[in-house]
Amino acid sequence: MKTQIKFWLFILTVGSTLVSCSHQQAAPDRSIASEKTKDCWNHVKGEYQTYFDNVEECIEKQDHK
Amino acid sequence: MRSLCLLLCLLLPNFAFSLDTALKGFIALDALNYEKISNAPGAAVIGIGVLDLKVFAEQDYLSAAIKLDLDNSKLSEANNIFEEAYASYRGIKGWRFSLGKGIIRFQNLHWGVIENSYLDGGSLIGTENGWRKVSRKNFISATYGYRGVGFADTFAVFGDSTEVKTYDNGSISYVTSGTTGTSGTPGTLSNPIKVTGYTGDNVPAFNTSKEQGFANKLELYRSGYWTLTAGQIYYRNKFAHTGSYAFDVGATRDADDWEFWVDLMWGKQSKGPFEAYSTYLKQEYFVQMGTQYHINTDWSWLANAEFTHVKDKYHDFSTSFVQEGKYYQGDVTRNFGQTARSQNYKIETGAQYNLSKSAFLTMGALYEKRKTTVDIARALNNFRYPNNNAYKLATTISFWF
Repeated sequence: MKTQIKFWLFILTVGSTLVSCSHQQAAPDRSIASEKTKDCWNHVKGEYQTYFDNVEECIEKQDHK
Repeated sequence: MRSLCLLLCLLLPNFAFSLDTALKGFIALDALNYEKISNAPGAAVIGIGVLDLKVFAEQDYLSAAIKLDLDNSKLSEANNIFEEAYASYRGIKGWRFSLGKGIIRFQNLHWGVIENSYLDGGSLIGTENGWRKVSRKNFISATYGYRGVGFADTFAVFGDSTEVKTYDNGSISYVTSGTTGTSGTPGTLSNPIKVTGYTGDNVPAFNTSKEQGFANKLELYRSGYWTLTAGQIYYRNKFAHTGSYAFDVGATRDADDWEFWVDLMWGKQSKGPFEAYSTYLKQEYFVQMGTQYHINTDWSWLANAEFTHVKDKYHDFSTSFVQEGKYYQGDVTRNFGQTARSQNYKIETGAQYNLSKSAFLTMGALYEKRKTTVDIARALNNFRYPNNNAYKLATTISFWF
């Protein structure tokens, strides 16, 4: 019984690691997005009335790649 | 049991969501300012000009933002520590829905050179314009469009985040201070209780049976540099005798060489007799024009000019009113049905030096003039600076992060 639990825990650990790694594969996409948003951030200027609106626009674009 | 716990710990990472948060801020420090108003002593002003912090959180199609009002807040009052607190949903392509407390946008707001816009209180001698930046409102809004498609239109339904306190029987709670008469029992016809305002409550939601506010702002993005705006706003609460409304058109050119900003606004405003900045009917005009020329990557030159004209018909408190058997009256020495016309204009110019990517130093000068005319001579006593001019020399350091 104990051996079986250990076996399944091992399988789940490997499975979890693989799933985590597959999530990590999304990183290049996110880095492309961040290249785009980097351009957005470069256009954020220190104008008091529009500063936070521009910041919000850049933050929200992270999901609109 | 131990195995189950272990299993749970192993699986937990797979259920984790991506939550992005950011803390952003804007600080402007008045390093060496000198202000002088005619017929008043001049003085140096050193300290914090503006200080704002805003927290953003984003998860998938949902986002939330809270802006702390650290430099202009009565923290002891409920819901007052935050100037903005709202959540947005962007799950439908092209749409953005927001709900919470914040700014209602219809103007094309822009800071001047060394002073804020008249629309956000930027005056040395005071202006009478009522349609300023509409902030601290409870709202629900829908935006269609974004920069990529060339336009965005935002429609908002809003109400005040402060409500006048009323009792169960419908009577209104007033802030009072002594009596308007000199003799007799307080609360009688000969000696009414003096009303100085309504009792206000900060509320997390607004009630459309008490107030209705609507606003729309259309933004058109043209040729990568220009943003054209057109906005309308309407607001009425049960204390005002008529609705308030305003129309605004603006344009902004945002480029690396010349920047321009223009805003024109016309509006009418009416407020209840004991509301803050009360008016029976105010009619106002506002114009702002400015430019910033980037000489090189470090230096730029700025200029800004603003004008506002306000015709203000005051309430008349010459008669008292009765509530629950007691007589009340407003301050008749300040409100007696007079009409005042005031014009303010200011011009600013200065130079800006980029200290780093997110900090600059601004050195500039401002001149402002105000003219006020009234139909009843004693009405001039209402104003601290009715016919004055003023100037300001300033060096400010601005940081944003």
